[in-house]
Amino acid sequence: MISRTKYIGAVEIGTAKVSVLIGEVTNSRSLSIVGMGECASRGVIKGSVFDYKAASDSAHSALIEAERRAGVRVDEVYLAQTGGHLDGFSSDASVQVSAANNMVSDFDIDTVCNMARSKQLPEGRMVVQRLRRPFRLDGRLVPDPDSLVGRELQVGYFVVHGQENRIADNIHVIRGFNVRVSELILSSLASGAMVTAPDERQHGVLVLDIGAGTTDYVLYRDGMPQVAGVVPVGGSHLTNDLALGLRLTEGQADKLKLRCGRATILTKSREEKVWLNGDFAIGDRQFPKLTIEQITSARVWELLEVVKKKLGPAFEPDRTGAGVVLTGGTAKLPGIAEAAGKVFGLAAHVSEAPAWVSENLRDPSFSTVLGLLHYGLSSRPEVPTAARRSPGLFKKLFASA
Amino acid sequence: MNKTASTLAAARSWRDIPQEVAPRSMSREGRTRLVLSFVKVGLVSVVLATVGWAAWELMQTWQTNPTKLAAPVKSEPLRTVKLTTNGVLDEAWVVHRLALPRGVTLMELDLGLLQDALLADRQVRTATLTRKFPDTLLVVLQERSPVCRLRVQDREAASRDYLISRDGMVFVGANFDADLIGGLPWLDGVKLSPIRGGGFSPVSGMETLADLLETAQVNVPGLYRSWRIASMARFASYGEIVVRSETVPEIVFGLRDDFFTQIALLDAVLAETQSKPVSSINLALGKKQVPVVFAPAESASPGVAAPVPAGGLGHLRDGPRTQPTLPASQASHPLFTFQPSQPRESSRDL
Repeated sequence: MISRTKYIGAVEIGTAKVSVLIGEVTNSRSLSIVGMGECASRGVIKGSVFDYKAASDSAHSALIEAERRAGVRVDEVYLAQTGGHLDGFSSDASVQVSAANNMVSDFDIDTVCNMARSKQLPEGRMVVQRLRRPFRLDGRLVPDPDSLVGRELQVGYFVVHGQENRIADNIHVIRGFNVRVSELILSSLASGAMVTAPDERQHGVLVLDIGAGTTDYVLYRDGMPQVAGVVPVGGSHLTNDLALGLRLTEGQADKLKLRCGRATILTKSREEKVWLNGDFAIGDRQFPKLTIEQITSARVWELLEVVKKKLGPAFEPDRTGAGVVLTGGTAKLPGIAEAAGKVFGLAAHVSEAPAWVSENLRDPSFSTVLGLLHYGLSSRPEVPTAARRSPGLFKKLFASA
Repeated sequence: MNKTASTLAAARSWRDIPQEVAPRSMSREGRTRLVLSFVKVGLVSVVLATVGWAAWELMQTWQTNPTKLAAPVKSEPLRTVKLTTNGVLDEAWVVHRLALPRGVTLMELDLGLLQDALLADRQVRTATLTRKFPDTLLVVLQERSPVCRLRVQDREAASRDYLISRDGMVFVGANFDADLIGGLPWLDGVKLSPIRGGGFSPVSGMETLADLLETAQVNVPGLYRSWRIASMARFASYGEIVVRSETVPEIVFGLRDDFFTQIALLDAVLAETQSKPVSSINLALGKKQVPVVFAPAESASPGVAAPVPAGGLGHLRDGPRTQPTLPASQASHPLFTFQPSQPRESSRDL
């Protein structure tokens, strides 16, 4: 048997860095990571491109490095999509089963799906992804209603949409490298597919991917994503708060955040202090550790509360059995799992990469770009049922009977 | 989170965003990749066009003059001719027929001409020739089987025997067993038309005669062996086949009943009349009436081993009518015995 090998790139243009992975896909089944490229991101704020040239330079540098390490050229990539402009809504539809014997047919499935999908968006908005929820046949959950018997078939979609020009900017950055974008995947879905197991998604799990500029979230239930969204707040806001509160430069505040920042307050005494640089040079000074923890924890708690508020009634703790999983670069902040646990009232933990991921990619900040390859290969764009299963010769022969 | 949504046409998706980017909007690396991709497409197109042109040229040469391909192809001299046939012809006959030059290579052979040479002998129904490298020519033949034989005299009064197949083809016949040929009845009452290039046009009505002879051979082999002449002289006009056997000078078969029924009747008549000499049995009128003419007592011993009609066993349509002859073993008998039609019993219902 001849093995068919294909090279696919995965690109995440984040606020802090651009990450690129190149995967070698053999026979559409096995995936090997053969190249990696990273570059500090420029021209991107809160996940959106505002300087095309700068963003292109950093993205193309990361692509060149990944291709050089892999020793191959890629012709298409999966691109992560995030940004504060993303929004979403639920769209549900139901139909009465058309057959006299109440057996669900392809026609019924296509009808209810088309009804649920045919929602028009405001001017300038376009769909990034539609997340289909499980079908319900007379109220019971069914993974595939085809040929089952029932009266009413229901389905719901969570439609994620965004600003057309910002999505186009993201794609054009990649097209500037003469590489085609074959899939545009929500960052939260990519991360979620990577850091959660199928049984966790079945029991219900909330995934928070806290990056530098944005926090992407996705809530799974019954094995499928129910709600996904983006909060335009991330680790850079913690840095900014520290810089403002302690009158520091952004670089100094970032170092202090990484050294002493916490999502929960551990320090009791205001007398406990830390040096800014620790080199006793001119300008080096002390700051109360309690103050640093208060500033960072306040912003983290606020962020988590905003996410909870955006989830709204869709979030039900008793139907989120697998708890909260935190990932992304800011998930490395000490105490963040404890904070998330308290805000959402659930067990929370920082994600751990699967065992097959190599050591240099186990950092939570790579979960999105790893998940792009994983999600892009394991899922296919949804196509109408009738197109997916064209009638065979036998059916055609007896169609008129 | 929930925006106002109306149930109209489906919303636009990110896939509706055109991915075409002007080269000036690309980075330097992007433009380099674009140029390389054009070069790659161009090279692939050139290679494909070259391969296509070469294939077309090869096909043209193969169709017009295949021997031109002999030089580039390394081919050894032909050493073996391997024959597969459903008949009696052998490899020596094929080699003789093909008249291959000594030292000829496989690629130098014109298989079309060789096939024509084989098909020129009407004993060969189909011929397939295949090169098997490095040095073997495979010949697959389907042959015709004779159902009767025919003697023809030409203008120089030379006689020659031919065989006739079920489809009416007239051929000389090679490699057949002498006993097999000797057991075939002679054919009478047909006119042969020479065709350009030698040979004769197919004889009509042979399918019917072949059916009669095969039915007799299978069902009454003893009776069949006594049949000497089958005449088609009345076939075109009356639909009758006249057979002359060693014991009965005239047995008339018709097309009204099937041959199996007629032969069964013949067998029954001969069984009934075995003590009396019979000069004629007419089976062409149907199974309800079979006229039987008995020979007079004084000429009851016809000894008509193989009476031959005055017109000859066969004659050339455009050539001189020739004196019919019989094989040497039967030549002492009279060529045709006329029996006056004074039957003692005119007819008899069976």
